[in-house]
Amino acid sequence: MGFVVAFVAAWFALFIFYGMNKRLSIVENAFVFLASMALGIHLSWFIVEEFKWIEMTKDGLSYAGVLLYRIVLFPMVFVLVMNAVYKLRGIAGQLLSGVTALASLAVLNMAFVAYDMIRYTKWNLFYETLVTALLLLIVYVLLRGFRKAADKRWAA
Amino acid sequence: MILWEQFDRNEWYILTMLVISYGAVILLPKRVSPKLMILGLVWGFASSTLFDFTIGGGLLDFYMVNDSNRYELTDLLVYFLFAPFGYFFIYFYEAWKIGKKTLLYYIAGWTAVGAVMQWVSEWMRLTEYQRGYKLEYNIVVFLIVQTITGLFYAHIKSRSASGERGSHMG
Repeated sequence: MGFVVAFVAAWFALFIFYGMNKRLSIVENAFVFLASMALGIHLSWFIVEEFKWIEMTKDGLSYAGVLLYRIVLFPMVFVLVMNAVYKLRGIAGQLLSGVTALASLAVLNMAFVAYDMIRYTKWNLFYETLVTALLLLIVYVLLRGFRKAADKRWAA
Repeated sequence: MILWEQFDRNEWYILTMLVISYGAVILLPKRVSPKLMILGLVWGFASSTLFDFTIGGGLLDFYMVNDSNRYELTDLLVYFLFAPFGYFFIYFYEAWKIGKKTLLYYIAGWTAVGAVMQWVSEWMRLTEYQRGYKLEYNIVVFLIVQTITGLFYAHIKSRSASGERGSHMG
């Protein structure tokens, strides 16, 4: 069941992206997706493999669900948030989009724990949300830098 | 995280290749915009990260990068080493004016380059295969990554040509 939850959530995120009025260009969306995926993978590698703060399932299908979360859903949520941030003018709306994303990812993590896909040993949902919020901020700063680079031309 | 298990040939190989590849990034005449250059670099970094942590680690654990299964600083440098190759793919795509009819040869060429580089990496003890994984399986990985890269770049170019908002090449 855990795999199905991860798959449906990933499918849902992709369809929201497909249907939404995108404020970022295709290149910027690709940048956000790749940057958040790479950062997320490296971070989870530290937390899971190095520090052993989270134990991963040994079941193949459940593990595939976690991989799907890590390489599709997690970065896709970042893409959705960045598009929302650039769409919404007010800071309240921008913060709300970030909080909604964090809450959605927290609910998914709770489902993964419930379905024994992951087990927190020296970790909890609060740390997970805190780290994800920090990553959102980092990716936002990176995106701003990337957009600035778009205006530049190489010196002749 | 450790710096390295022992500083020997694989670490020297990484450092040498980093100097050569980033030297080429800096010295090559600029053919693509800064934005696409950055995207190419991030693409190379992210795709190598994706495959190393999915098939090279975790439950599958088909190969070991550097001297141990632990996360070494030199592991991180390996992903930075892959980054310029994402840029080179886009760079030579533009330099050689690759199109629909030549993309297949272009991908095949890069796959051959990748296979040779992996053979050298194994010889330099940068990667050590385990659990039945063989060098030639990397061809599948290269074909997947480079086909997606090539098709995605062609898609960006076609959108740019059709003048859609936001898909400008910079």
